[in-house]
Amino acid sequence: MENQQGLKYNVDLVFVVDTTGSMANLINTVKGNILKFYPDLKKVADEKGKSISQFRIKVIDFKNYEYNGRGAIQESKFFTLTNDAQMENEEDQLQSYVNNLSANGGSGSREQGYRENGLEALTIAMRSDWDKGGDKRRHVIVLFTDIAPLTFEEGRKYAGDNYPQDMPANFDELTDMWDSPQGAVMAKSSKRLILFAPDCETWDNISNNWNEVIHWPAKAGEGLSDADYNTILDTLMNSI
Amino acid sequence: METPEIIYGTLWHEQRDGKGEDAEPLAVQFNNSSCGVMAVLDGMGGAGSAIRELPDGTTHSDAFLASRFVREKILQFFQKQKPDHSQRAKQLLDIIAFIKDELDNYKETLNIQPSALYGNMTRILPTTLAMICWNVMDDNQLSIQDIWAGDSRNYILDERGLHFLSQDHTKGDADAWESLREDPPIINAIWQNKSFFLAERCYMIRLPSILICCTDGCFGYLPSPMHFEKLLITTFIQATTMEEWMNLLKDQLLPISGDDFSLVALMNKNDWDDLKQSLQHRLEEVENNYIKPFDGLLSLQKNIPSLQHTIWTKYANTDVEHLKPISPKEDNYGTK
Repeated sequence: MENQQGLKYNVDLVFVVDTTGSMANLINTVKGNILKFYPDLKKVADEKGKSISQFRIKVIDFKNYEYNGRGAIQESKFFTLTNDAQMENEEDQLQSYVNNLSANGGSGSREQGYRENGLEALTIAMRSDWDKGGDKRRHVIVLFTDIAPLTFEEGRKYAGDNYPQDMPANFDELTDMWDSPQGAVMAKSSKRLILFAPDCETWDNISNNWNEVIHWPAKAGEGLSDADYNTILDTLMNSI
Repeated sequence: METPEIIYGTLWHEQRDGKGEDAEPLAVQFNNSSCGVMAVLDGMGGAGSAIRELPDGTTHSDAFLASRFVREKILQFFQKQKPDHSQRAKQLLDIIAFIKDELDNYKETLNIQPSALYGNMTRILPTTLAMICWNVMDDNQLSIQDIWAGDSRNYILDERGLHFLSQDHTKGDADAWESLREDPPIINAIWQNKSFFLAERCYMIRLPSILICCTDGCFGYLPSPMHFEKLLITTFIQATTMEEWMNLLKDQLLPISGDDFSLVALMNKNDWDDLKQSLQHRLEEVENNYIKPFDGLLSLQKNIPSLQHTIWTKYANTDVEHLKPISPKEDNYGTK
């Protein structure tokens, strides 16, 4: 359906993926979900007469700073999927990037409960160079993990010199980055966070206390029904 | 003095036939009485996107169902007891309790199970409401109870212009300008699975005036709140009947609105010519003081938000002393 109003809807998606060894049996499903998420979202938008003018997609994968050093978190550029000749090339690059993700090693120790630096990866996602164009925007972070994250304090303690200097001191600072009028780093009306992460104190804290969050409480999206998947897509696109 | 002859106009458009999230506007004048109720309701498509199957096998979103269901319940309520401004607080609490109970029952009827999705982005049966209960008083005045939840709005249009009777329930108490620019999340509306409140103000309105309730599809796709006033006045001046005014408004909104839209307007039929005359003068004022400077900035094709905001501030600070609410601040009546 054509958007009769000529409004430009720009959507940025940042996928944050746990690629430690424990994700080995889930990673192919996650990769498939990433690659089908944006066409599905586009389809929902089209059905509602909200033609998306520009899709940009970025992928961040994370492990553990203590075991993987400073390269524990890797991020791609934003792949721009617009309706022009360049799109095919960018889409190929995105598919290639996603297909090359592999889940191996890098988990925390038994002492750490095999946890990873998921909160640091979320921080990097929130600081993305979000699009400011178009008439209406959605800035969506989609996070896949199978485990609770290390706290910032733990992450800093275990990783020592490998730990980045610019991370929030604690969870409260991250919360301010999401929600507080002074500290928020994302536009309040555009931001959305979708968590595919197990029930645990930190992820539950986010879904209970942060605004604009949807949380499917299972390992990396396991067991998500079609109905709930469609609800997530509709929730993202109906309110734009 | 002649008794006012109250007339209504309604406007209702679905972007996709049979799938609209706005209910048909409510516009009731009770038989043989000088009181009535007008309202619009906009089911919240984002928060209410879950799909439900009805007993007849058809499926609809929570947003679709909520706006229509709550409309029906409000109508039922007022069919049993007409708006009575001497009992306004009690009546409002009764409406809230009635809606809450009925939503609870409806949830059972639809066999809605708790969502497996966590987070505050989803709601069960969420809808906005903008409603005005009115009574004709002596001396050509209307006593009105102005009620709302969410980002649907109540307005009054009189010779001094278009005035807001409601303040959107959005994050950060965004004003109309910020709402248009930022599209902030709604923090209060009617819904089943969380507490909610209805905000209320009461006014004594001197006629001639036009009362308007409308959903965000009417004003949310225009360059500024000033343009909405211009749209209302230009179409009103062109029209000779209420029906014609609504048709002209619809013609203007169709190419620009990206949403369902609904509106209900009320006025004294005998005021039509006087209002046309006074609004012609106001139109020139709006055009010269706000629209031309604003559009001039747009035509420069430069993003000049601070200058645009200055124009909005000047517009928003227009003297509304004559619209002082009977109670100084709005009251919020909520569910437990």
